[in-house]
Amino acid sequence: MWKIVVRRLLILIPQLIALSLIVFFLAWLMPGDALRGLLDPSMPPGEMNRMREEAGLNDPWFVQYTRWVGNVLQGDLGRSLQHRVPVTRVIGDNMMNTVRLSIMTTVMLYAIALPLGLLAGRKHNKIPDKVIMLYVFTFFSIPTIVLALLMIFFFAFGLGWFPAMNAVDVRAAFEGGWPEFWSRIHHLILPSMTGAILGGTGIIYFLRNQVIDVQNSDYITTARAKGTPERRVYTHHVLRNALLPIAGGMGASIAAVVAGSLFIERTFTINGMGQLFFDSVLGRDWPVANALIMFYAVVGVVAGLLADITIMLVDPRIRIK
Amino acid sequence: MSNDTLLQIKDLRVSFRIEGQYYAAVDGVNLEIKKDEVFALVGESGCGKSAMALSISRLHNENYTQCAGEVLYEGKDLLSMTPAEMNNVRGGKIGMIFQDPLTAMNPLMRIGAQIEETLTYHTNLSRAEKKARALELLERVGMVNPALTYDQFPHELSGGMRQRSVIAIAIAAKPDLIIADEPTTALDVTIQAQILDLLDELRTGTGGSMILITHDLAVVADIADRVAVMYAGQIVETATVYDLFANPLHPYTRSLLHSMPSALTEEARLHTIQGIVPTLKNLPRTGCRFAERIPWHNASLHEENPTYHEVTPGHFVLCTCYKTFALGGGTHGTA
Repeated sequence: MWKIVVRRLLILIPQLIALSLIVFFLAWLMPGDALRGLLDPSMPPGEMNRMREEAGLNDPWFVQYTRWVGNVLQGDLGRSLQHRVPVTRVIGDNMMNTVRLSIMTTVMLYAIALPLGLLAGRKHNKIPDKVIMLYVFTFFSIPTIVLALLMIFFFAFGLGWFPAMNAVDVRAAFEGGWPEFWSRIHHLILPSMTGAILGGTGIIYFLRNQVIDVQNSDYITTARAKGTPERRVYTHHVLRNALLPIAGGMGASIAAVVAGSLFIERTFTINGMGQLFFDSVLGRDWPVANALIMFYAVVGVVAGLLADITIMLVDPRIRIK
Repeated sequence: MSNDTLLQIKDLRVSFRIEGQYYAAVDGVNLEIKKDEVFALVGESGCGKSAMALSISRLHNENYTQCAGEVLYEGKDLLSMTPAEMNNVRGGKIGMIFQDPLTAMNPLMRIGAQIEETLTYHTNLSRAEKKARALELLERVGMVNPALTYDQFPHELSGGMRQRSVIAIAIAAKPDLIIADEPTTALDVTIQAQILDLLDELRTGTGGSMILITHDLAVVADIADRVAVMYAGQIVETATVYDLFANPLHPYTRSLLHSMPSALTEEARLHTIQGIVPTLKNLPRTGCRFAERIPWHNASLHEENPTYHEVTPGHFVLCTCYKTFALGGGTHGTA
């Protein structure tokens, strides 16, 4: 077991190297650079080139790449060209909002998707299944921004139940403690519901099919033939087997939630990493953009690792000696 | 119903829903299984053998299936039992062995736990007693290393070992009736023989009845006491094994027997029965259902509403077309 985890961790290294190269070249190939935005008509002609030289932007790509990687390894992600402070600080200020949003979204996601998926599968072709499937197909095809706007329109402006923007009430944040905590939850409900309602559709559909499949499998008939009461057949045989692939897919869906927060933060104006990412791309602030892309990529890779470990823990067939 | 009857099936009808309509896959079956006998049910694929077996334990998905008639187990009708009563019967009174051992066990549970599950619902044994019993069962079904198998998962076992485990699950609570639905179909020939020997041995050991569903007539000749031949949802002939092999009456039975490969005949080609079993939707519902597959078909030989004829005591045959042979109306050689 531990051997596999270690082996899997070692695989991370080439994965991360490949990732860093991709990330670097994406930024490198982007048209324009941070300095061009600062161009001042009154600048002398050589000045621009002097600044580029100073920032190291005229070096060959491998020099720039090794410099960047070397710095990253020392925890130095460079300085934000827009904010004029270290990237780590810019990201650090925004990270917690994204982490909170992601946790809340993931919790809501599974709180919605698991019961609905199981119910739909169990009541296959009956009314609950049909209603749930209607929801799945409707929301599967709605873009995040549209649902986010609808949520804001109905629940923030129409009913006034939840705030439409920001991560926390300024006064509550100043107060700290429980008021701040509740204020944060209150602010996160709409954005995380938006993410959960949309992200849950795939899981519901998959889980439903999984339950239908497992219910008709031979070993369920065997379980019934033993005289196992229907409820126990469900909890001990159907449930475990049906949830197996969901557990395996958990890493991927958490990664999707983190990545999905990009649009949600933007729409709900939460100062998270998604918001920051937009700003840094638009402002050609490549140290920040690079760091963020790298962060998202690492989340994806680590999520994959977690998924592998989870599935190894729950499925005896995958345990390799 | 005589005293030595264990299971009596009266006018059983099992219908499946296809595109909103129900079609009977088992169409009016009457059977009696006696205590301590091996009763074989033979027929081609799609004849309704498995559908009938599953309906005895009511294991069909009730959303798509209707069962009518009576299935009397020791005089009590299984079809009208409550789910809780039914759970006592399943596993406790009737053990089931299925066709494909590769899929018949929960992939996430250890073999020991799967055997103990049967014991949980039908005995009051403590944990340690259950484990002891499970190990004993594993040994009885011929596991070389019961203690090892107990902790293994299904995927770690071979097909034959898995079928042995399935058998251990089925016999764990000492049921009086075992329904074995083509227990050897998915196994290779050498293992088939071992599993059949095991079934026969277990049965003679505990003294229970067994319904053996198969399309392998050699198996029937080997271990069955009585045989029913099923075609298109009906039983076309019932007899003791001896009578059936010595004196097959129904043209379908004769065709089946004739289709057995034999080392003794010189025929280069194996006889096959013309045509296929009609699909559920296209099943002829009146007259002799096998009529269209008899090449020497002569309408006058069939009954309009086929009934059972007791030719010799205990030897029943459906429809009068069996008389073809008595009348010399055709042979398979010309078929």
